[in-house]
Amino acid sequence: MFRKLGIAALAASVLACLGELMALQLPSLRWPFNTAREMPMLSTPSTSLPECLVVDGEFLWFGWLFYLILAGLGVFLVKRYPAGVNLPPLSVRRWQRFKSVRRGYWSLIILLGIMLLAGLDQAIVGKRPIVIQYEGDWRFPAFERQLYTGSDFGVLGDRAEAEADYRALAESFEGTDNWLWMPLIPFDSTGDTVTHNMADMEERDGVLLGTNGRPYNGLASFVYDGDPSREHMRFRYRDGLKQGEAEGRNAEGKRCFSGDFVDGELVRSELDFEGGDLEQFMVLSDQVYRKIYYNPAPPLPAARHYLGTNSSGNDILAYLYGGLQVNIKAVLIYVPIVYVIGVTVGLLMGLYGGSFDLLVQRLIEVFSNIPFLFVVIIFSSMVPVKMKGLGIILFILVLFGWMGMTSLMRTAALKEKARDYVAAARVSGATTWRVVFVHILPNTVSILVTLIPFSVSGIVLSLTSLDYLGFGLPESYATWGRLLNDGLTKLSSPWIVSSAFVTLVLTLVLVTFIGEAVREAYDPKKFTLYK
Amino acid sequence: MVFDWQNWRRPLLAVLVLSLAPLVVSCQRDDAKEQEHKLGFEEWMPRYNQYIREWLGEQVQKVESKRKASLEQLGEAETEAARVRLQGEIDGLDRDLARLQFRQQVGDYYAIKKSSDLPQNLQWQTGEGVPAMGDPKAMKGGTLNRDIRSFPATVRRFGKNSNNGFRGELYDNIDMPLVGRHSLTDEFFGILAEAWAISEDGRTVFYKLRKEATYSDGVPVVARDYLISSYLRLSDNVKAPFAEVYYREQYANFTSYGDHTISVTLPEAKPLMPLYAAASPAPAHFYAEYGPDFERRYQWRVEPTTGAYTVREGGIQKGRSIKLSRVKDWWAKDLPQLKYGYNVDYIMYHVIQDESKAFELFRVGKLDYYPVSQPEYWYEKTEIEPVFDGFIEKASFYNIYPRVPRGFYPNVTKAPMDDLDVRVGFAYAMNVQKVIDALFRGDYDRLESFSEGYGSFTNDSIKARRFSVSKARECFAKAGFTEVGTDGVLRTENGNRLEVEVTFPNVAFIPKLMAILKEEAQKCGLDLVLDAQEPTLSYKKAMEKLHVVNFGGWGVTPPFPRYHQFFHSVNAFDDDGKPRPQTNNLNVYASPRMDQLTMTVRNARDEEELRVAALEIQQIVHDEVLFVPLYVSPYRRAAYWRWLQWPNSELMEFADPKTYDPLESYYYWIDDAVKQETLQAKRQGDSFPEQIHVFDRYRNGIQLESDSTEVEE
Repeated sequence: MFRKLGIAALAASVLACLGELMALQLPSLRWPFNTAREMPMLSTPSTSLPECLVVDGEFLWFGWLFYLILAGLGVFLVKRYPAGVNLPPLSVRRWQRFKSVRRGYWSLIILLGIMLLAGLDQAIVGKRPIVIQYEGDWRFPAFERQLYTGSDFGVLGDRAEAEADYRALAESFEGTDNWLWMPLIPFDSTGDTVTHNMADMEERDGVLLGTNGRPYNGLASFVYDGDPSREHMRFRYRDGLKQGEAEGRNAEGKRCFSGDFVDGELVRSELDFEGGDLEQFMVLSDQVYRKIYYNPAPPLPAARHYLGTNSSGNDILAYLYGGLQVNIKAVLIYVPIVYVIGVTVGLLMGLYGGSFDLLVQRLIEVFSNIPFLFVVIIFSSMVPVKMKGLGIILFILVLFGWMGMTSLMRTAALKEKARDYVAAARVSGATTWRVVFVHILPNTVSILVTLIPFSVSGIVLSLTSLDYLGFGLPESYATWGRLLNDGLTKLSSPWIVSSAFVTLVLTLVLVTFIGEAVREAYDPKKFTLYK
Repeated sequence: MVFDWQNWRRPLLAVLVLSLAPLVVSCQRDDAKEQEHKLGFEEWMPRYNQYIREWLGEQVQKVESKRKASLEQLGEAETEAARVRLQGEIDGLDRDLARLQFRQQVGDYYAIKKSSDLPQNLQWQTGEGVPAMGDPKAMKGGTLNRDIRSFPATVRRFGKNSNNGFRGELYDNIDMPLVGRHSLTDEFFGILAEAWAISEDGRTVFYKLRKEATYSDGVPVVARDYLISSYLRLSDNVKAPFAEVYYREQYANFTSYGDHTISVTLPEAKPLMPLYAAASPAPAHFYAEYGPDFERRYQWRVEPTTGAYTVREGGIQKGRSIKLSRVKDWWAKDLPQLKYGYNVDYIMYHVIQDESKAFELFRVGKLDYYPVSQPEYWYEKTEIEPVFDGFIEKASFYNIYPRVPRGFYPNVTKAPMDDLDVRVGFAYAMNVQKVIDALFRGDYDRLESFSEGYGSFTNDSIKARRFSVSKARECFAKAGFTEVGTDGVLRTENGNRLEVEVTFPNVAFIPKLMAILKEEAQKCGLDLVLDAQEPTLSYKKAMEKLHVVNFGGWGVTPPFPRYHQFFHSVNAFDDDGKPRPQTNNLNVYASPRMDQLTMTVRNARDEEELRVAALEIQQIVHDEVLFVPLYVSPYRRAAYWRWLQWPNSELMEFADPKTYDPLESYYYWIDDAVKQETLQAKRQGDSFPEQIHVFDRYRNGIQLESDSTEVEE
């Protein structure tokens, strides 16, 4: 299994580097390069390097370094676990025991499936099409570094120089030879808001019918002919008849008509329209009644908002997906770092004991008494704007997260160092580091492995709660915590809070089930026998 | 053993006497304190007159020496710009000097004269014939229940903590001024003054008080009370630094002529003199116990007002509620402009800390009124049974009130916003309409300029720059941003990215708003770097002028726009040429023309002068892109139980259009018959037609003749 992992790491590195050289944006593999591109401190200006290594005049050293290390790791794993060598029997037995806990096993498979899905990135969730064919040319905007402007696809007018709006393009391509294939969810998780969605309504015998076929209660609108994003008139309906206030806006969005209806009859009106009288004003729209769904909009499968939108107009499904990616990244970065620090410090404390032990324990006490939220607030005011993001939040979380396991590891080291095999290693001349990492660490692995699921759910919860409180990631990240907050302030739009809640709980339940199975697999009582 | 009483008696008595001694002494001390508790105006007045005399002398010297220095500098000035600046400075100093010399010539700050001393041949005006306000259908009686979020820290009118929001409800909105100004016709009419006259030089206003005017406790209002009002705030018994400066510099003299005439002199003539000079009286009898412990002693005593409401005995339930009672036999009850106002007998303010709880209480009828201006309340939270059943009515009311200039304030000393082309491009790159559509249901209007809602003082020809990718890119190209990076952001030839940092408070919907603007600015090749800060930090950053672009808005008040604090160069740079911290010139903008104009607005002697300068300033603000306007709502929206009735007559629609909050105009009333009918219907499950009103008579300003067209079908 480790060998396969090594090969995968090697392949990923090669693919990512090739993609970068060819100016492609490969799903997930693009991440280290893009991070380097966004954060000035992870790249250096360069003029001497060959063209293909330089992006916008910068050499993205962080991305290359990342894949160099990953490739190194891959090579190491492949060498360490040559082909044909089986896992040690103990590991095989543990794996079988893990598999025998069906709930945990299936949770792992589902979670791996979800992670794989998250890895597909812009291939399934994104605003850029996978393929577009325009005037015989094929392009792959989702996977290319180059941004296409509207003018590349024949858009004229004010927006021609802006990046192409592919959802609008898809509509304008209808009935032509041009076509495009959007991802399954055609929205970015952030930075891709929609203003509103519309549905046509039917009028029968002078009574306006709602989407459920019954006389309508609520607001119905006309929009400008030719520019459906501009509202022309807005009427209030009660039992299918116009009732009360109606207002109209001119093309600039200024209120210019105001009227009152009683049972469908206009009883008072006032128009301040430069282009003429009421009749001339009314012909500016196509006179089709539409229900306008403002944000937050409920689930609208026709508009491909399968879970609706949140209050700022992001698609909730895309937003959840973005949040999932953030969480996975956070776990992949946070957990290894915290374990390296925590395990090392803990084992050394146990092994050395004495004044070192005392000193570090006091240090931990001091650290654990610093109010965490204050540190977050202070940090976020000190850090320059461009550095704000996942990195800094993870740094603070790591700063306070490594202490939890030190006491466990310390105990384990204290117990293990009294064992004969440690003394034997010492006698044969092993250094302290060798004793710690080659002899003691493998014997404490059961503690470590059972801790990991707790760390994973811990980091997910921490990120969520920080975002919920508003001290977490900036708005450019999709986060479950913010969605939860949004939903709780807008309980009248239950689709927001329920989707955020279900996703969060589901993830945590899966992780917990896996943890349960891991504990079962590593339970020492199953194979230790005292005589 | 027998107790020897005789022997013990003397020491016992001694102990008793000793133990009583401190009590006796402390009683004496109390007496001493009691003596300090008196008004003390007569002793204080000459001292203050002396102080003002000395202060004026000092100021004259100061200004003269400054003027001399400036004149010398002017002689040595080399550049034209410096000459213009110095000449402007000298003109300002000349004006200051004239003001101070006039004040020296006026004499004592406070003067008490006999009515025979009143100057002859004054042109008395009475404001006879000014139309009435309100609705003749109004009826007296009933209780209005309202909510406040927190209990006021004190009910004193001045002193520590008194500047809280509730003071308006207790005093500022209730108290009667000397003269009022009709909201629709802009004419003056006497309220506490039955007549007024302006001196020939236009700096002094004389007011003849109404003899029947009394405080809410029945004590008549006399001329001396107008002198005492400022004394109370200037005395050493209270710390009020703002009042200290305000009275010292804004007024030149207060004089009483007998019991029923006063005059107020300002250092300079101003537009709307009768209104500007009008002070308010303080009931001398109420402050009979005035002294060093005033703040503690008067903490929970409500000053009697000259208005229609006051707090009666038992009206304060600390931490829970405050009850205003209508003054029966109010002296002004027959004044035509007021007689249809101040109708309800009691106004109850209940403390309800939680907003959603307050709304629930409104929903069940425990509160009579709820503001629903937010689109979310108007469209969603009020879609409830009591509204459908007609128990609760909703109304949009178009008022005329200065609009908060909410938007972006660029710092013109920081790159890249120091380039006018970038600023113009920035303005074009803000897709405000999308924000309005995506976040506010398309319900707000675009704010057009810095000073909207000031009537004729607003430059209506200015229109905010609408979002345009091509125009924005054109401007950025002019500024040298011609290349496009792989991230879609524009760059200069030597690789400078077009990025602008925007600082804003990280609360409520503001981060969402910024995220949308960022998304759209990206289309124009502009990278908005979002600097979300905790609110106080964001404010601090702007006050220290460390921002590149700041998001915010200022509280504004009628009747005139103000510019000096925002755009004058004094507030831009300090003497070392560094941006001056802690001023409202967030643009760090300085220009000689702007300095002249802002001074003109500040010192204008009549409305026309002020108007011309104000319009030009707004044009400069627009041309120089010192402010990028966001959105505005031109109306107030309210939900109220149907027994709460509002004016709808020839005289007035819904409320006084020149108030911010409809309840502040006090022309509403409660119809008890309607209340009983509604309550019975509610019990029996009956309903009324749903009522959603639009009151837009004042939508396009005030037209004296209604021009709404009736549609006949």
